[in-house]
Amino acid sequence: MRLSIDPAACDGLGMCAHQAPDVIALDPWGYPVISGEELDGALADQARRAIRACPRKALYVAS
Amino acid sequence: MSATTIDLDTELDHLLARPLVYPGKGCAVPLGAGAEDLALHRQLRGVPVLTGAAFADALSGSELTGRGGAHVPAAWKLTAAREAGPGGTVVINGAEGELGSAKDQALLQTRPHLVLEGALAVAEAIRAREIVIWVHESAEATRARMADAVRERKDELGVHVRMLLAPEGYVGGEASAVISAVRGGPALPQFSRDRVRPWGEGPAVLVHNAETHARLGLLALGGDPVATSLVTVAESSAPLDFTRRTVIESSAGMTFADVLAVAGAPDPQAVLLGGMGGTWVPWSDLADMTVDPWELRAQGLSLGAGILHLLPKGRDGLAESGAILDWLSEQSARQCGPCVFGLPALADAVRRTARGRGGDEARRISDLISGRGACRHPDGAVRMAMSAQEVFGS
Repeated sequence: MRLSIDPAACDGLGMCAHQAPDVIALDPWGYPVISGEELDGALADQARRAIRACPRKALYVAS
Repeated sequence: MSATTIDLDTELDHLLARPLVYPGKGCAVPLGAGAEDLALHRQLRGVPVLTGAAFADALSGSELTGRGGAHVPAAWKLTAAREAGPGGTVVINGAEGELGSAKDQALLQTRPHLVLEGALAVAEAIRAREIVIWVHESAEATRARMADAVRERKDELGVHVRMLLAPEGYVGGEASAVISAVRGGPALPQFSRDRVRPWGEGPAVLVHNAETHARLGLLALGGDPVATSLVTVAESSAPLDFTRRTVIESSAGMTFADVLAVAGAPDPQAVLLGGMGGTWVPWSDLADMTVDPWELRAQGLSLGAGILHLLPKGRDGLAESGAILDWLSEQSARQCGPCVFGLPALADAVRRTARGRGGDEARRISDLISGRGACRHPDGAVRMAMSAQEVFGS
């Protein structure tokens, strides 16, 4: 799976980086930075947790 | 509104008969810039010869790209919109948000029927329900002339036409913002999860700027839509304090030096090519290149929205770029963190480069914010900032 961010929906709350520390980094202003690479196994699990954790529903699985 | 100044030898591969000179800002019509009425438009260019599928086929065979800045092939958009089914909307985007640009208002003011011709051909090809004319509220002269043109055609329009007023500012002309506004939402850029169909599900909302519509009009009338390019030569007395904008149609083989000669502008030290989110090019590199989107692409450059923002000799390019970045920051729709926080940080870093430090930081911030907005606004700022480092950083 591939993780994507809707940057207009994201408010930089940072929940995602707590749920997916190996997938999502935060920039100096607290907004998520992702690689956009294909994820599987434990990394995909982290990404799914991050998607569920986002109060703004800004994260999604890219089709 | 006199038509006497229009040359009668206009051909089907040209948009303007002569350069138009505008003051530094505003949309007041220049003296002598008459609007063609429908009768004169027909006398000069005849009636459309390509409609529906034949128009779509001809567009697929042409090299016409959008002239709003991104240069997406116009045929791609038309194909996607045709596939989306009937009942869509065609938008004439006349909300020229770029400081220093005037080419779209020049066309809307003097060639309203040619612009409408393109929109009508597209509307028929995609079986659209309506045409929306998207113009700034403050652009009173432009609005009046488009309203006159629509009124002249009211008995022959097969589609509903309405005018929608765009908020002032830069991102209000961005296509996804226009789509949102047409649907009754805010005129703010929207993040699209589908790049091929920015309007999402259902009938298309197909947005082209005024120049692209005029070129589509030439195609429908049986002309060559890509024989020329429209540019605006923007001269300023201080950073972002524009004094004169000259809209010039460059024909095949014309170089940038030829264009500046027509504008009567002195040789600059560099040109910001394309718009505020464009690329700085030293004049010594640009002067002898031809004004051709394809040739520029081969050099890694883009005509963008067609603006030649001149940096006079003796002015500080990094300070100029810092001022432009401040302006771009102010123009942010303030929806995305990397844009809201990244652009002011980038402006500071570029200004520090002007004082001999900050170059590495500008590069680091650029890498960080590139590609991370809902629209391409921050990407344009990064492109401009990086070219400034290259051209003006020692």
